[in-house]
Amino acid sequence: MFAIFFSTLLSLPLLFGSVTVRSYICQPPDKPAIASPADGSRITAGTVDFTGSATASSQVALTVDGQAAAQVTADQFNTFQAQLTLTAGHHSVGIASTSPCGDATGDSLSLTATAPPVPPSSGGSNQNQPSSPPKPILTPRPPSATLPPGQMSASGKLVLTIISPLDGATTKNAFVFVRGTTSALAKVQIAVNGTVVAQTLLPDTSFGLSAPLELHDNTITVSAAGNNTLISVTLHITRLPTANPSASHSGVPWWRTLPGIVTAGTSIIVVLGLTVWFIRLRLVGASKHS
Amino acid sequence: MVHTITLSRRLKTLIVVLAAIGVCASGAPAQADNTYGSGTYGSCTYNSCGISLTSGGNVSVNVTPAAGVTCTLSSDTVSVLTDSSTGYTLQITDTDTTNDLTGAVHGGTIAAAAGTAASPLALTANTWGYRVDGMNGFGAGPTSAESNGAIPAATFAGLPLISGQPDTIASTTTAADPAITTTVWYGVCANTNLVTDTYIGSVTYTALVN
Repeated sequence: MFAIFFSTLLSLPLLFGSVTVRSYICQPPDKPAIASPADGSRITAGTVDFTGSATASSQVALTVDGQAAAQVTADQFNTFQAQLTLTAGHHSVGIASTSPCGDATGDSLSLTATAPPVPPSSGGSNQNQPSSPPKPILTPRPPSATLPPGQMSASGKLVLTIISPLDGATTKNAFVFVRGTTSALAKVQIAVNGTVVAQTLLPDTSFGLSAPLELHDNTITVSAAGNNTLISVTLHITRLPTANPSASHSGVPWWRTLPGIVTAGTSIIVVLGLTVWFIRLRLVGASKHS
Repeated sequence: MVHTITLSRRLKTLIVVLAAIGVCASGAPAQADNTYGSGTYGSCTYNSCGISLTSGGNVSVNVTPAAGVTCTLSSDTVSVLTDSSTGYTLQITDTDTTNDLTGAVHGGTIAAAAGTAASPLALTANTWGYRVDGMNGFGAGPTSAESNGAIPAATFAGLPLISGQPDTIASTTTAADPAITTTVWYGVCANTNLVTDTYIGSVTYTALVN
């Protein structure tokens, strides 16, 4: 296409013409990476949430034992999320990304998926029940030294600092409140034993999220995505059984009172087991009296 | 009878006005060629004091960075046509207040080359510039197109800002008919630090009758 400029008819002794220079810089995709679950971790067989980093808009392909398992598009924050169904056993999960500018392959990871818990039998014999008790589905925590407060994960662009809880902490609570900061605006996501349980809705530099705990060992992966970077910190929290396992049947109320002040219109989040409830309060019964 | 006298006065007035216009027009120097529709006036032949300028309109200088610095060179051809007997001068300048290329989506920039037309320099990572073989300090060339190659040996200059003095990239002392073309080379070098985006800049050519 040519741009032609004439001034002959007007007999002008000078003429301007303009041309646009366009340079499409097409960067090959960054090496994709799976942030959660962590390599070598044990997870519960079934649907597993995978999160990680990949160049924005690139197509991320996940494979399980060499077979195509899922394909998703990385978002503008250079992150992705996909769900894979894993059967019990050892698996190798591979990752690759493609874009118009090139392809990249990430490191594969090994996972051990254990069978989901078998619900207790309600009486009567069951021919399909294994004779031995089911193996625990809890993640055996690898030996690791307790990290000091303020555990950090840093890249060149983003620093994630966990204020609480401490890695290696134990608790009897059914949930843990994860609090921390990031050095730049970032969205934070928390996964417990491979299952995403909470995430911030908007990028911020501080966060506080509740994560439900399973009995015994919990591998908590806190991932922060921002500044074109995704980093994560892994915590190991042990949930101890309560002193009286039959408390719920022996007069201990099923409800708990939590201190706090909320107003009408406020949204609160309640975590019951692995279920997250969003509750929006309404002002009921209020009326004006003249 | 009265109406006839009035008409006659108007005719006389019209004749006086036309005569005055004729006197003013005759102020121009007399030309040897008295053929209607021809002759010269100053440096211009009849009906040719104007000038035409043709360019490609868009120049694409796409880069897919790899390890190190990756460069692409593309050219634009500017054609100037004029019958001015003293020729023309073609100048180049940036169109706006920044001579960087600006990312359309993320707003990043590719900086203008550090060299000037008088002292052009080799391109460096994440810079862009222009060159015209044989003009100013650019050297003879010839420059050739390059796609995702190494840093070229040819030197480049950043575009002068529109607020500054434009660079002259072609000049003649005789008429340019048929049109004379000038090849303007644009080069972009990038490394992997640059964000994927379409970086855009606007260049203004100015053709002046000498």
